[in-house]
Amino acid sequence: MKKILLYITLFLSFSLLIVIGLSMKEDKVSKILTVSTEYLYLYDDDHYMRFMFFVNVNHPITIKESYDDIYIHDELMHERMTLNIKGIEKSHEESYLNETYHAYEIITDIPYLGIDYKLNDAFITITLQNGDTYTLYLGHLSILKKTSSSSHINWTNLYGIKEDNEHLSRLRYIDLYFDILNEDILKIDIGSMHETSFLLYEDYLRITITEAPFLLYQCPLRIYYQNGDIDTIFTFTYLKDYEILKESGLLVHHGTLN
Amino acid sequence: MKKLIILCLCFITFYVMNHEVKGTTYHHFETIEVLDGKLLEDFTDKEYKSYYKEVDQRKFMGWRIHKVHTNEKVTFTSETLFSYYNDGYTPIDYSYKLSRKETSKFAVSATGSIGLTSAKDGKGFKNNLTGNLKLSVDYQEAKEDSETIDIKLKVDPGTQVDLYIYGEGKITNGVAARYVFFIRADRGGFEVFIVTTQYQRLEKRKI
Repeated sequence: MKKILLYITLFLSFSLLIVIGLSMKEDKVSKILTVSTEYLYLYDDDHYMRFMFFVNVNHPITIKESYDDIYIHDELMHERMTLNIKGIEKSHEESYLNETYHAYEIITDIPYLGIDYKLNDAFITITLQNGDTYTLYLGHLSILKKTSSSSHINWTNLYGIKEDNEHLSRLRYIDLYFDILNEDILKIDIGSMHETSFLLYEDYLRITITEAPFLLYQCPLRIYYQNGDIDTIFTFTYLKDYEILKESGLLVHHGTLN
Repeated sequence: MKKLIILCLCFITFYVMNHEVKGTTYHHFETIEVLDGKLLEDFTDKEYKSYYKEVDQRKFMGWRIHKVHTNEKVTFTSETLFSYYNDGYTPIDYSYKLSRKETSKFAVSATGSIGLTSAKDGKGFKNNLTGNLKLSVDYQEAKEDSETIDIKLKVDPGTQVDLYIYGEGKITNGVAARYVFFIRADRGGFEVFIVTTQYQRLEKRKI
């Protein structure tokens, strides 16, 4: 009799463990994360904008065909732009807070505005075909209008680096080597909300992004000359990080998926 | 019974002897440099001998592992992603778009008789050494990674444009030995490398 009781107790304990295990599995919350980023672009009808998000599950938000509507806006919806989505691309995987997240990029056309456009707190709202709507914080968005280039500079080498021992995915310096520079430079704009400074050496310019509170890995360059002319250099991706989430701390924004 | 024992011994001997001889190195990278440590390919015979002592104690079954470097910072230069030469007489507006699956984010290398799994099974070591290394999740390979490069620029006549990648990563290496019924089946060096930051550099030069 004792043996039977023992077996029953063991069986019940084992069953309970399985039930607890299964319920814990079911309780996994579907999350979506974004990281505050400086999204800086130069308008070009042949180029795209890319907005990154992370998810810990397979979800329709990662499939372009599930999208019904997508637009970018400020917090109070005073400014709003509908986007033409071109695709969603899976990027890399990261581990963050004991979970694996898949990085995806929403690829859209760059809307033609004809002006320099800046959105200080940019959000993206996605409505899926099942009616679910998600609003994600992006960071800063800037689209510089294309201007005719004066070709006062003939650059030969272009690259950018982070600050030493900087773990954030944040570009700090851009080095632009040249073999011709025949006009004095007044200032350089990367489309950021903040100023940049530059130092002119014999054959290169070192541009320092003095203040960029968010992640920054790509930007265009617009060079203003003393005589009023302008040169532009296309939006170039200077760096790509593979440990964005665990290094970004308070810049990570958390949301849940249905 | 004797026949069965002989058959078992033959099987074990065959299993032990039938192993990979050599791993590979990182073909994605033109140069790779460890800031404070050594790459597996730079281990000397004397160092191997000293490290092997840590894994030579026999065990019934499984791997003995000795890590020499863990998460050491490395810098690297990757392959040239594209080169274009304008041999014409007028400038060309050159557009380059590349979208490719699986980046070189993760790479493994082995020496001695530690085998590497084939590309179709995902990069890693044979006989579950990858699992036994208990590497952090960061080292897990993302098989469906993709990478997109989209560049548009004006290329003058007689000018070559090169885009290449360089960056930073971390490396874990050491030696390991696998035992089957107290018989050493494999022994060698292992190394795992992941990229943490990748920089792109664009160069134009007159030829």
